[in-house]
Amino acid sequence: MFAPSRKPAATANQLRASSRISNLEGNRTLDENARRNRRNRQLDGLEQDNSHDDPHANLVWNKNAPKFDDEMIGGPSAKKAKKVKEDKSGIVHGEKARRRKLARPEFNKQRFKKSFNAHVIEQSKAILDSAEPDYRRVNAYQLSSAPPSEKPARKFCAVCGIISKYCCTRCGAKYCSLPCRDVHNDTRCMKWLA
Amino acid sequence: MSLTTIIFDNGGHNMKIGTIDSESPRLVPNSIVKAKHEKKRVFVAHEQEECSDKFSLFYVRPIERGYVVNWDTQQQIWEKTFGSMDVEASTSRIALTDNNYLIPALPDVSSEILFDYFGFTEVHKTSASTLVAKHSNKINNEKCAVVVDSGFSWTTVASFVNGMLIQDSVIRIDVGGKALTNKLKDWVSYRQLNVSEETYVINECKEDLCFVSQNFDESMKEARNRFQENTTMKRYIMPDFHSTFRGVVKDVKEPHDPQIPSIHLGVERFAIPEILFNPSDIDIDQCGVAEAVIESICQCPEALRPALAENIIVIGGSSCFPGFRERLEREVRSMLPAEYGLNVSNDVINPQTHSWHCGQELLTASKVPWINRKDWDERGDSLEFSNFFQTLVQSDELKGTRNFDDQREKSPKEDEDF
Repeated sequence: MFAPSRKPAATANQLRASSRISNLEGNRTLDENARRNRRNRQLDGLEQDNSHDDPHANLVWNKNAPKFDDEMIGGPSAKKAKKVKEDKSGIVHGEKARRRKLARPEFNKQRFKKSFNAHVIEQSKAILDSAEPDYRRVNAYQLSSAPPSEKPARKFCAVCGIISKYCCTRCGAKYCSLPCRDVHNDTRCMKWLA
Repeated sequence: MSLTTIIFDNGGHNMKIGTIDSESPRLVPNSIVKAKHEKKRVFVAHEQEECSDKFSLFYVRPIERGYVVNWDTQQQIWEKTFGSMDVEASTSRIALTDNNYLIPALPDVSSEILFDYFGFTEVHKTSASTLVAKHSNKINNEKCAVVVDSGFSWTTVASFVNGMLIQDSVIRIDVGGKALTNKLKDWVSYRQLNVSEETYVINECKEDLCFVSQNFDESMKEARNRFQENTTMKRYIMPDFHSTFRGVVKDVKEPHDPQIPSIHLGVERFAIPEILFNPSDIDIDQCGVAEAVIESICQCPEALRPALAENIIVIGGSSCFPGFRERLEREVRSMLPAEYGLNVSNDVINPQTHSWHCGQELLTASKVPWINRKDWDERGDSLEFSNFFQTLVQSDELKGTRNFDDQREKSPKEDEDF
């Protein structure tokens, strides 16, 4: 997928140019900005609940009557349970209307979902703008974040987890020995998946 | 007839729920689980036990970073849980834990659901740390307390005096059980076997095998030993959910069936819990839990610090690693002034359910404020926080110090260089 497209036959000048470019690409390194972005993506991955797709995302519960409005968490068995409960009580109390209002398609939820930090900042602004602001609730989340450690960070081999002394000159990952360096170069160094 | 009181610790991984007369709370998963092999239903809350094959489970969790953000998911989970407990809401009242009453961050929507949807008569809100601190104050007669809550979404350290929160002392570390499990999945998937989808199995593996090292450097040397001299390395035989339902820990020297998938853990056994004490090991720019305890004590008034160091209470599921308490005690001792005494409480029998038990004793023995439907209709949000969020420094005293630009943590903007 990432292989460069095959080029037509080239003149001598073009051969020299493409040879120089391919040599340069082999020596490309990540700068500090790119390394920080990569670290942030890895840290965001620690907050994920799942690393694979929803296995029920493409299900159709009933082919004859596809439902686009209801969120089908619970499925038919939950519907039966609800019916039994309703028969027992005899009065619905507007549960159906409220449930339909609260249930929304997951697609919209994921698409327009704000990040958690945006939620927190918006809430702090709302409290400040309210009639009687409770100042204890403004920026409490940000202010409670732990300060950086006074001890220096330790370095561990990305391949085997042992204490490491060496650092990849291209992407900045740590390794502890020549075999680990070779594994790193083969599997993760400058690979898009890493 | 008197009202039934329900104590509900709404944790990110498990909910601890029971009536005030129960011997111990029920542990109910706080998630909706979908399985690949079962296309016709999802497993809500305690129905997870009915899921026969727990490979590649897909979790829908209402709680993100410690706060409920998916209220419709949470409502479905609560409905299933209350239904299974045969709770009659119209003759019950409920005491609910919410992290907004430790670190206020998001709007609290739960009262509307509890009053309007479920029909409870009265509500009390608190946080798990506050329950433990008030129990220590009113039942154990301790004036000061430091509560370390190492849970699923995060780890917090908070100091209390007379059951009131010292808000400047609240320290939040963004490492909890979820981050540790995800990091263990990453490591095992890269080094041995692709388990990136096996959240349930790897979480159990973490619980069975990981421990907190008392001397990290020596443990690291031990882990570098060759096969025969290595006492750290263990083999974890994966369950197949037909004949075995939980993994089996074996020594790597024992013969094993190559047909059954297994992983062997060496360094990972103590490097995973070590992240709680040194988040900088995985590039999180925050201090560890021992330094957070020192920082929390130092943010308090000077006269309270010796008493705070004498009463440190550790709760939360991620503090169940063997050796956690001893390691915390030793590290905090090395950073405290010599004239301070130090006591990490021994009374915590089960850190997962300790806050529930504290709530049970507290609500039995002393009076706490409740709000009913009529009060909530009138004043709602501000009434809740004025009643339930009790801090040493009041809101008026903070008026000049809080403005929107005062942010210690700034989320870095991502500019793509690739």
